[in-house]
Amino acid sequence: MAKLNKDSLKTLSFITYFIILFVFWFILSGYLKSLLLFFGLVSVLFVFWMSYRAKALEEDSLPLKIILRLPFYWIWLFKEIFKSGITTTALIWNGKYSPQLISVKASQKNRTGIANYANAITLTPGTVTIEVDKKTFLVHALSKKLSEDLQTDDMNKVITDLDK
Amino acid sequence: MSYNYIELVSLVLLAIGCFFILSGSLGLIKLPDVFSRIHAAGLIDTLGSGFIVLALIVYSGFSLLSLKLLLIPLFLIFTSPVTGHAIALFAHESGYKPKGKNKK
Amino acid sequence: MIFFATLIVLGVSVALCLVRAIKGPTPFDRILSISSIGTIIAIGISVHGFAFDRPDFVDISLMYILLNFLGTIAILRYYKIKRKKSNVV
Repeated sequence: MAKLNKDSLKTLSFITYFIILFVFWFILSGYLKSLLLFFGLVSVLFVFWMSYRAKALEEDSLPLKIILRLPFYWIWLFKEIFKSGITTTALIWNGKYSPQLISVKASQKNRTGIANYANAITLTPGTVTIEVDKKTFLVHALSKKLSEDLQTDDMNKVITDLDK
Repeated sequence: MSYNYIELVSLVLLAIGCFFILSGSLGLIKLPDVFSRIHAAGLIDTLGSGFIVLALIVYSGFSLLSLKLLLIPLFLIFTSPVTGHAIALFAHESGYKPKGKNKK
Repeated sequence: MIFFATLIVLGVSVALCLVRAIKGPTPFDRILSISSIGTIIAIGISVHGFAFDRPDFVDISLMYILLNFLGTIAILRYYKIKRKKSNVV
């Protein structure tokens, strides 16, 4: 993939976006007649033109390198959500919460990586990103154990490796 | 006698999902301030909905309907952090301070 | 039968969220609990579709989730703009 120049990479990401949109249309409707498939193609082309016009297809928005590694990352993320969700449920039922603010440093290079990291922190129950400065987050954690889990930098390393 | 394995598995998954949703909404009442209650809402959005949708997928079997059911947690995974972050940011900007010790 | 029991539990948790929406001291508490009620009801719509053997309700549930997200963001923006104006005047 490193051999390709910038233009062909852009074309490849356009094609990927088109395929994703068409699969999404098919899941929602489920028709297989040719006339309805043609109407689906027209509506997918309309949405494609709209998002091209809204400049939603710039270089940052659909990184192809990430898509291949995405399923493994999501399995890891589900495991993480499950672990901290059980911790949060136990905290709610036994009432031993001690909320606190911490600051976390991010080591991702581009904007997509930083947004991804902040999203992952907010998605796991028990930690919420409040403010995003350039490379430091202000994070609200529900207990001391959850904030120490975040400060071991495991999640940061995984999301930085995603973009290599 | 009429119970088979599929119904039993989906019953267990539904019970787990109901437990998570109930404890999330209990946390919405019990926890002390806005920033802590966002964690409880996140618990409902991720684990509760995930387990209930998993139970429905197991019950219905694999078809186009189960793909459509998989879209529900996918949308929730994309929209729930945005809502939580927006509420936390606006509450912080409006001057509400979180309770507890704050080491910056 | 199991789906009716699930619907009852979902109704109880909607009632618990509603307590916070009525009581909540800050506006953000109310917005948060309304958004949680929206999520629970969207799940409840699809469970209701399975309980009455009409699985087409999943489409309505998907639309409900997206509209709930848009509504929450719209109320937050409206509140912010209104607050900014009242500070100026």
